[in-house]
Amino acid sequence: MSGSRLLNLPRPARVRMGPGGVPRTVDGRQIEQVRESWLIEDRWWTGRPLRRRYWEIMSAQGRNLVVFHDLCSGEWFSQAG
Amino acid sequence: MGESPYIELHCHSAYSFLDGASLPDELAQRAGELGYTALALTDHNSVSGSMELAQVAGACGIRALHGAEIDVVITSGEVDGQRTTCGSPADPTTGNPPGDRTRHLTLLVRDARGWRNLCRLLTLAHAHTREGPGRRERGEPSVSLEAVREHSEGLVCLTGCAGRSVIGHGVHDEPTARRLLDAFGPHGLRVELQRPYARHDRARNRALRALARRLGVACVASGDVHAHARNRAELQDAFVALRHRTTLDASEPLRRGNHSHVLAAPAAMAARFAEHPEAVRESVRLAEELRFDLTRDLGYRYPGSEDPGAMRRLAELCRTRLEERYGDHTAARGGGSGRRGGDGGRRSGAVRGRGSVAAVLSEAAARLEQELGIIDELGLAGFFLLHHELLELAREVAAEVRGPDSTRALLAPGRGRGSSVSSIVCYLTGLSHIDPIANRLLLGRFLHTGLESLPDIDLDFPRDIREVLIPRVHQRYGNERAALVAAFPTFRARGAIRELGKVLGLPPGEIERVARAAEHHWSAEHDIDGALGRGERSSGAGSPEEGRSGGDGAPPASPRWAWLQRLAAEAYGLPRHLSQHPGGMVISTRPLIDCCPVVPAAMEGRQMVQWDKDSCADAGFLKIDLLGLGMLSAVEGCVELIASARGERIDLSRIPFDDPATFRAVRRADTVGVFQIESRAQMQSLRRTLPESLDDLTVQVAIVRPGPIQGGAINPYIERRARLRADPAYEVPYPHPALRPVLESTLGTVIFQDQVMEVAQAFAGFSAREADGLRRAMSR
Repeated sequence: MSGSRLLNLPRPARVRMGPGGVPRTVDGRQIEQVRESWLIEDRWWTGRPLRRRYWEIMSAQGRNLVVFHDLCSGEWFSQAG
Repeated sequence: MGESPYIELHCHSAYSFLDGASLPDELAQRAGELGYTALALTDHNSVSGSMELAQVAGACGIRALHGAEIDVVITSGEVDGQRTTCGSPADPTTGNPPGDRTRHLTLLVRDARGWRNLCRLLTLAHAHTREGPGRRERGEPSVSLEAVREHSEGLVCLTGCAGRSVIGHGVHDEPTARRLLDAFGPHGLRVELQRPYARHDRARNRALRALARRLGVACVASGDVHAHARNRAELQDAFVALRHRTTLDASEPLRRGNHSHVLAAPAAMAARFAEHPEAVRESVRLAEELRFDLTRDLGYRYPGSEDPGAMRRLAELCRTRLEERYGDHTAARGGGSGRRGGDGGRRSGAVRGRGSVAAVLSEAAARLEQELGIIDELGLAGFFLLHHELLELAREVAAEVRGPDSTRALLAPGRGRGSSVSSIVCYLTGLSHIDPIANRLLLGRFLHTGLESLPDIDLDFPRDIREVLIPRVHQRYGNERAALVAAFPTFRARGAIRELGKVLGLPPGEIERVARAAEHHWSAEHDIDGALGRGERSSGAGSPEEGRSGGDGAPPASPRWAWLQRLAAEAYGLPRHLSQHPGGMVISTRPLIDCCPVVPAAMEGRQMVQWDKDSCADAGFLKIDLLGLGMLSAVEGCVELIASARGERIDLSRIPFDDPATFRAVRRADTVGVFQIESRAQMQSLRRTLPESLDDLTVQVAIVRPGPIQGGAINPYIERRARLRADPAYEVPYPHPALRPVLESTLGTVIFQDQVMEVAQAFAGFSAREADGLRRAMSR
């Protein structure tokens, strides 16, 4: 058995954006509603700065999702809320 | 001014110490560029930046709105049952009793009554902050909710900021909000909505909008701005860590989480509150209601300013003393040191004939009438009489401190210095011991008809006398009407490197090495480059994330060092904390706490206003500088020692100013312990300038100061002196023939502030008022 493992690691996600960077589809799922959006900017003083725009959204199937846009790399990830 | 869709009503400057990261003028300028028509400054429990904003706002095309964000203690009996992180069983940071909690409220000034109430509230908030042992550690300012309710008139209350939690830092519970509503009424209370891009913004703002509906008040949007531009956002993070005495790595829960607290364009803010357009419009409507103008509505008066008999009494006092000082019976009189044109040997006992006495008396009388005319025109008679009264008070204090039998008893209680020594009124009323006629001193810098603020009179006292005098002034005019002036120590290279280096988690030894290498007059950016072994000065921080390689023996390349360079450069010149001016006091006819908040100083029995000398001058406050001068104490000590050792009573007024042995010692730089010329820099310079007279020494003292150093005047002056010594026929070069009379005494260089004025007048045709304005702008 290996040692500890990190929980809730972000997983890459395929996101199609609308105006203002709002997610329209996530991994092919249509997004019905944006519930909240927030911004995290941290660790800018290190070699690995962190800039993420988070979106808490609800899919057309009624599923809650949290995705973030990594503003440094341009990639999208999903993460459990 | 065009219409702005949004007005920022919640904005912190660097006077929210170690929280705001921009100066008021930076905020005002940026607001103007972004198209704002008004901007409110709401620093934490402070209006220290308000006058600065008021002074620059017009030039930036905005209207200054005033207010503060205050900490309110809500006691457990007053509330709501809501649990917060503040004030639970024990609150070690606030010292509040268990169950009490501290909340933020944003108070905005609607009119002059509102300003008075805000000043009184802030005075109350700080009243208990020096109650700890030794008064050194400053406690957290706060007021009770009841105090806020009692001072609601003329103020508009916003319910406070969002913070990072769903609860926020403001008053967001209905029972407390209703108590505010009772006091402020529906037109004086707004529920404040903010969108700091934190996780619970939407939920909180919806709840707040529902609260506003239940209360029957409007919502207003605000930005909780902490920086004027994006490039200061990181510094704000660093300041938060510094304030909490921790590092950036360890301060994530304390920081704002992102950089949305930078002043944004009105349209961008309207878009940020797309779900609350009414709250955005309310910011504009509310701003229109806030009509208090700090440059006009303060209502300050100093004692004697409205005394109709003051001019007559001042003229009588001066004319009586004119005869004593310049009349026929004066065989020889002291001249003191003048900065230019003074005859260094005058004090050696020049005896004037009867004709000469008459001529000098006539010249002095004409000068006196000219000055009295200006004083009358400016309505400043009460100002001079008040200073005279203070000097008389100082005389009483000096007699008590020295004792009747002391050899010091004959000495003056203090000495005037600075520009006031050019005034014959000051000379005759005892405020100066320098004869402006004998020393041919120009009046312009001290007094002219275009004067916009009160003139400055600096008085130096031996320390023991000053220690007793300051509390005596408080007693004479009342604690409510007299207070010291504040000062704001600013970040300089060494301090910024040390403090921000620690915040960045850099190795203490390396930080200290870099800090010690820092030069006072250079920027931190330059110093860090040098200390890191980088020969060439960089043009900016570039991309700190990338880091840079160090030279031999330099600290390892790290983005943190690059960030230190940038942060220290950004912090340079920002106020670090509130402190006390060495001796500036303001005195008022009405309670000062109606004009400016008064807070306890570190020393027992002393208090200070929240404004520094520039803001006090802009407010028209009468500031009297009662400065402690250690060397004056030392000289008085010497007089006593000589008396006890040799039985001689030394009369300082009879010491010659041209003693050859003294000047030989000065030229050898044998000046350890000699006032003004004892520093290493002065001693080095003395060997090059080789002063031969008091005038030479006056220039010598002045050149080792920031103005001439930064203005590049030192080397040309020293070179020209050397050339003149070698060749008396040497022609001193002048930038323009018109400047020859102005710059002759300093060999074509600008050394003195008076010369800045005279150059502006001679070369650019400035009036005395315009020239003084230029001088003031340069010296700030």
